[in-house]
Amino acid sequence: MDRPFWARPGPRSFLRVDFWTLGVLIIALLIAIPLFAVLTLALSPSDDIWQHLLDTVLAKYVWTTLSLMLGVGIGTTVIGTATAWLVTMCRFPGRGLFNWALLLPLAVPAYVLAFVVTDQLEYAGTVQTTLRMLFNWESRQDYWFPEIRSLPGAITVMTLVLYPYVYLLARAAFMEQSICVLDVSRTLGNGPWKSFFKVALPLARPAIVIGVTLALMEALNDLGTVEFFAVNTFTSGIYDVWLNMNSRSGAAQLASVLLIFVLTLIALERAARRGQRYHHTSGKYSALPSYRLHGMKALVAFLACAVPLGFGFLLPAGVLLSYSLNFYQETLAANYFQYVANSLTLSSIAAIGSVLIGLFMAYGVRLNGSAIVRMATRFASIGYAVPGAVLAIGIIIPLGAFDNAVDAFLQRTLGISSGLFISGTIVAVIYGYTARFLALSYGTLEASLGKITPSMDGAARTLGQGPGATLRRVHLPLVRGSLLTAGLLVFVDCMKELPLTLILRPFNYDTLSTFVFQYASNEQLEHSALGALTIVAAGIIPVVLLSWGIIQSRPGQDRNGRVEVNK
Amino acid sequence: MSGLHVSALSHAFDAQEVVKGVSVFVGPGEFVCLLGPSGCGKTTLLRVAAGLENLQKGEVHIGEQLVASGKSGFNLPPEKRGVGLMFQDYALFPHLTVAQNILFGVKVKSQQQSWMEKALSQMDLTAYAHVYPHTLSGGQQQRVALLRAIAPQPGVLFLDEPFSGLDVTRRAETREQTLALLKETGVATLMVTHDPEEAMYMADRILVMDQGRMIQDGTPDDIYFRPNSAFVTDLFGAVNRLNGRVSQGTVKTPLGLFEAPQLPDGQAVQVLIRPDGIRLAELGGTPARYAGDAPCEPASQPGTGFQVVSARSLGRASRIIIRLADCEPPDGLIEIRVPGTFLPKTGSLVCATVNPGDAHIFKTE
Amino acid sequence: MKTLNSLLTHISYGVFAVCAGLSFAAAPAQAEDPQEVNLYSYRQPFLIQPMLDAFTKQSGIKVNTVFADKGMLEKIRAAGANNPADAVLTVDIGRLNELKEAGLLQSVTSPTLSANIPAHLRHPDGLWFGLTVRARMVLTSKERVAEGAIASLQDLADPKLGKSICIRSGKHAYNIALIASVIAHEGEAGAETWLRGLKANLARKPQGNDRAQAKGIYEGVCDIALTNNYYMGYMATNDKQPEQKDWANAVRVVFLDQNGRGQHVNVSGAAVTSTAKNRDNAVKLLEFLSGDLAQGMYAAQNHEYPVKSGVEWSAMVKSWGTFKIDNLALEEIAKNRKAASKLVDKVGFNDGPNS
Repeated sequence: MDRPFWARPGPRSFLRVDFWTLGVLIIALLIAIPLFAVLTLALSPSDDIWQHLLDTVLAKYVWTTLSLMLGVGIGTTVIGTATAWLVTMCRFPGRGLFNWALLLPLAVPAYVLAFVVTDQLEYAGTVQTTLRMLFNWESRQDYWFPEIRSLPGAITVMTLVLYPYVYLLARAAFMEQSICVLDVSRTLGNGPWKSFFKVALPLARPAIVIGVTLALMEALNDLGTVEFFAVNTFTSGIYDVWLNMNSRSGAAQLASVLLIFVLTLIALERAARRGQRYHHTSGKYSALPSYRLHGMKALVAFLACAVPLGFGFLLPAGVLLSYSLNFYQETLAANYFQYVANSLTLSSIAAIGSVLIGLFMAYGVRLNGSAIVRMATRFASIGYAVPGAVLAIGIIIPLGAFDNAVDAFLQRTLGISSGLFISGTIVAVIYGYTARFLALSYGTLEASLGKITPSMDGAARTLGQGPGATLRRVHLPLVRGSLLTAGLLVFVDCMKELPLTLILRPFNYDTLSTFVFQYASNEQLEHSALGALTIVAAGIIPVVLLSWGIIQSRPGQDRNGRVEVNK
Repeated sequence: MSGLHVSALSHAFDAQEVVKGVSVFVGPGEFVCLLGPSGCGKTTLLRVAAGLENLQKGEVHIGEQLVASGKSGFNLPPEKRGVGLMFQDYALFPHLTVAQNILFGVKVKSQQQSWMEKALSQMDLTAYAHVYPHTLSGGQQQRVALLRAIAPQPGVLFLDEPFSGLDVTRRAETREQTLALLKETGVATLMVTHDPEEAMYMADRILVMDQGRMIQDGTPDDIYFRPNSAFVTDLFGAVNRLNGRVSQGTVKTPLGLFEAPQLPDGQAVQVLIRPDGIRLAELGGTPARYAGDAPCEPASQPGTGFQVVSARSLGRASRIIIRLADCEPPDGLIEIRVPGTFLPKTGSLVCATVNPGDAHIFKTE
Repeated sequence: MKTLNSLLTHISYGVFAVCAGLSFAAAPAQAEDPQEVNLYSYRQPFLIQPMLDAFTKQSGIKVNTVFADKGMLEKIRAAGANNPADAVLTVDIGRLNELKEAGLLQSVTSPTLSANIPAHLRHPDGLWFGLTVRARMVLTSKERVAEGAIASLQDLADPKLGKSICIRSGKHAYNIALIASVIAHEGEAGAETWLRGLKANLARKPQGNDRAQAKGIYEGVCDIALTNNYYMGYMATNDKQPEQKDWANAVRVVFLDQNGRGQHVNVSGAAVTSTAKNRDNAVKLLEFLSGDLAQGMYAAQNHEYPVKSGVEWSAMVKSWGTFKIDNLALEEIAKNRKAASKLVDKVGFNDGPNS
């Protein structure tokens, strides 16, 4: 098969600079500025930090981090893929509900779930108290209970809140799979299980990999959850070097190592996937098969979906609700409605911005896939793996310099002061969100555009449409569902976002998450339970929309299908 | 009506040159086929001419206008070239109806409305104007794609393997309709195909390409009956090959002597004869198969005919395999196709003659 | 192409306009307004809002705040001359000293501040001021630990004690300051021996927050815990979550080293930035916060020890009695924080007793 025209680097494509290429490069550069700032910071000397870390905790940090990634990677893959397969391919009681409800844990901030889980599972928590009552145990010595504040605990909580990324993408992939390949597999004598492992799973692999990558990047940048579980990861090390050892450059060096690690992982994954292309081969879709499950099997399927949903969403939402009943006054007495408005404003703008930028970049790369453009976009989108507060530092340094330069220029020429017209305002927060969450929108849209055969572009171009009109008239309608997905993923994540918001927001400006954090950081999360519950609730609406959008976009079921025609 | 003029075009991917100095001319109203095996560079040439690929070396003119030049690095984007391209996979827009697809490239929709209605009815698609493409059959999709490509009245139309997605029974009908429509439109058309029969059927002129080079440029008749190389001869299916050496302007083969006046003495050659270029008669006085044929004279091969290995009826024709006595070609088997039913017994002897015009003699390389 | 370009252009104008609009709407009031002071706070706003409201009410000066637990120093530095923050509130000496070392603070001379705050709780040149004192004290089980069994930090490292101590992460700022004070007093080698001894006596891997340690005693996981005094105050008076009162009731409060160098304390403090636009208002705010009214609120609402003498402590705090304070210079603690953090790594403190 010929490579598509946009994936062929001709000898000239390096020099070919058009509107889109230039645009992509400029945007990638703007988005990558914080990363460059961190790398620059890493270049200044950091006395003996490395020797100290090598001698003491570095090996442990690395080992713990890798274990965490392995655990979360396996956990999210298994739960996300299995539940996606069940709700797509099987019919069992509750399937219709699970179909969208399984996305809900996405709206729960990890630190909230961590708080709830430890609160409920610790010695004084509901679970153990009930057990003691039931069995007449007197004290801790009378029975065994797993250590909650441990690496397995952290892996469990992160898996529960992060598996929806895998679920979302795997489900979309399963739904888009041409039914023919599954039929072929069945006629070749493979049972449903074998068909799943030999056909459906490999076909959905790129989508699953993107989902797991997002989950792992989020696990890598996390501090709140691992702190809760007394697990010391590489990221804890970064904060320790920064805040306790007072070495910004040392912290930046550790963060740079983290970046290189992530880039390597991504490169390895791409290399492993090289040569495989997953354009769909058949233009014909029929209704998905439904393996109707009965009895034991139906029960197992039900539980497989109910358990992650229960622990990832119902439990935290329920606990937050019960706290809210006790502590709603604190939240309402504060500027609660203002916080809601602020959160919604920031998240909406960032979501729309990220989607527009992500689309521009993904389409620009499609138009001119030269190595340099690809590298630039990939680099720009790894801000997601950087611990939030470190990224915030990477943002305020260049923004401050820029603001001051503009201010100095205006003072010199016009005699007016512009002050911190970016870094002192919510523009900085939105910029931060975009830099951090671009990976979500770009990844989603890149994958979605990749499913449109390049001859669509060629057809539109030879029919007299320029690149812009082609995007508007052909690609936009085709990736509509993914635009929604991308936007809502960013939205939900912005609602939960903490470190960037905390550091970058202007005076007297609070969001739901900074409000909740005030209390959480004073060991009184329950006092802001209504705020936390609102974050979770605000996530439900987009999650439902998202779910609805995906079902709507299934080819063959409506007119907006992404149909790939015969090759 | 404009034509297409590609001159001395070369194109490379990475370090690999896939088109090597090829020139193509398609006159106004002319239908030209670019014929060659996969990977010969024909699709690349088409994409460069259409502007989907930037030109590296050479020049492309459409009508009088220079649209791409390797020297100046000028490349007019595809949307400004006024060309139509129909893709192998049709690339119909799944979110648009048949009618919307067809009018996609038309600036003033109302002007082409009546044309479209007529064309749709001509293509038996009237009933489908407002459905979405994925509900159509392959042949219907093909016709929609064609209408879409010609709706904006392009100066040049490119067709990239337009019939390869169709099953054999549909193909003939669709070709017919396509050809009729294009002749009516009078657009200069360059079609890429690897199917020689298709090229023969459709083209006014065929350009044969191999490994990035132009091998032969001629009418279908030229290409079939006067191939300029073993490669071109080979395009139309299995060919019998006999090896020989030129001696005094002739080549001696088990099937007879063939003249090769332009080749030097002692030159090793191969004689290529298509299965339908050989005539057979049963040995021993049976009437000749064709009117005008002389009765078979076994004297030319003293005392022998050729042994029949198998004979099968293909309906309108028969396929007979005979064995040459002296193990030439290697397995000594020659395939012959004769019209009608001719089924000599296995093991019986037949005599074979070749019309000199059906023997194509080329140097052995 | 054209259409989309113009579409994108319109969108970007739109985005810019929205951003600009939002940034003006949310922008901090500019420095020209004399009736304002801009505050960066490492302390949770809900803990200090009552004092700030009282200040505004009394002085007519509006206080704009932004709260973050990290990154403030970097923010002030990056903003350079345009730094909007006039004053900073911190929860320990570490941050104050860092700001000072970074040259981001200015010296303030105020008779009021000098009078209200004892000399050892403020910088000699007025670069920073302690506003409240917090004691990192020991809680012991009323049931399982005899009164007086634990009297000093060294007692916590005594091998005879066994695995009976609960503590939060060794890397938490409060513990870092505690360990730094031990380094200041006993040198790195002495501190290391002590920390190893303490680690060996831990009942579990360091985890949770300060309240969770008292809870640990209540649950029977451990007999001894370390906590800051105000958490004990919150728990003991928590009417909404009476279970926390149970935790508090299970423990006895012990001030350490009363026969030696005195109980280790830290301060929450404040400072005026070197680039403060509203310097006078910032000084007024600090003066107010060190005054009787605010100090009384700190004591009554937050269970902290006021720095101003004569201000009444909360009833709960008062019930624990007075104690002798370790008079180690606070900056000595700040200076040894890095060494303390490294020591935590070196002895593997956070890995818990079984490593």
